[in-house]
Amino acid sequence: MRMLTGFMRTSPRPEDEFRDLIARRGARMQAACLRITRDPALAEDAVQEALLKAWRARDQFRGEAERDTWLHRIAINAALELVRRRGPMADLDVDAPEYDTPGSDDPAQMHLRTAFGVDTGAAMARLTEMERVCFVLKHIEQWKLDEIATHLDRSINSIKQALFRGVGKLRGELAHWQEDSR
Amino acid sequence: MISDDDLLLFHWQDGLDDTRRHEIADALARDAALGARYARLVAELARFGHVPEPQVDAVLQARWARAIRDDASKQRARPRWFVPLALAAGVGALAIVGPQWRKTEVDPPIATPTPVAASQRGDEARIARSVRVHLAEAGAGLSAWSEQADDATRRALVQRWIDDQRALAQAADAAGDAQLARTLRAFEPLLRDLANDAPTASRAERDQLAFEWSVMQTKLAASPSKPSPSGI
Repeated sequence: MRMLTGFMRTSPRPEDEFRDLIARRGARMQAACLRITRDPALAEDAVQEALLKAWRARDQFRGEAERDTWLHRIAINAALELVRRRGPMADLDVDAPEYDTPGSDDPAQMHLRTAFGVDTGAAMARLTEMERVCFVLKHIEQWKLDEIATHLDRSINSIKQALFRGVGKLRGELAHWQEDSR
Repeated sequence: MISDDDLLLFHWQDGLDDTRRHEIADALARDAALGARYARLVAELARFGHVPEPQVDAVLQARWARAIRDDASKQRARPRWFVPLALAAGVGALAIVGPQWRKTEVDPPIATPTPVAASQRGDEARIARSVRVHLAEAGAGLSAWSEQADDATRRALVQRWIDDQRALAQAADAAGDAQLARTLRAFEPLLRDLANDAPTASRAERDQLAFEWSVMQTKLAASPSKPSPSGI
């Protein structure tokens, strides 16, 4: 019976096209959302929300490239929204995390290492949530400063300050690795 | 004086006005030490911008695909007023087909030879067998409805029945048995409603479907090799 069904179905259903899309883009979107949320469950939910939005708006895209770009963007937006719902983003280092060694088994730091790579993930753990999110949106996702300010509901100047602080810390960590590797 | 923060914004080409951007570009062109500082900054940023290729999680991807499929099922759902109409259509189709089945049972089998090719009759017999197997499987699934793990499993089960019936209807069309194709298609609205109402599908809804399937099975069993295009 299943063979007959498979044989008789000639044209793919729209949801089958989305299965291909998930196979091509799913892991990348999940990693991007994980860099924002540091929480795999939130990242998974963000991607699912984005996929459902793209599915419901599937007739409005002019091509695969437009749809894929849009999809990645709304996955990030969904991740930001979920982070916002979790609570206010920490701006300052009142609770600066302990230095993350590559062998650390703290789940949040392990997720960072998954999303950024071992060394960079360790350095990212030194940033506040605001610094990390700003850095990811600016440097990795290549958003404009005014877009970041709008989405995070901050002034452009405060976004710049978070970026300067974040990059300063990351460069400090890089110096630490270079010293260790000598 | 050009700070590292300025160089950072210059690198990103964002957050500097045109005048300041030109000043920095000019300074970089004539100041080797500044150029070296800038090159070091860019190299460090490149290291932080390099993210690993993520690993594909098949279970997760299956979850997302299921969410899309469930949403697609919901989108195809018909409004509630369609339920009685669909029931009436299903019963109506059986009312049209039913008398002809009865007629088949009482008519002498040699009454009028029809110009149906042997291969076509063979196709019809195979399709009729497939329909009987399908109805038996689906009937068993319907009996065990409440034992299914969850609503998603129930929806998937009904979707499989719909797919099978569509395939069988297409095969019946191809074999020239339009009546069987119509009858099979008449079940689809009932199945769709069952899928959409999976969490709350009433006993009556399921009983109605089980009854109609059993009627069809009985008719198919009673006329296994009717040699006309409308016979099953």
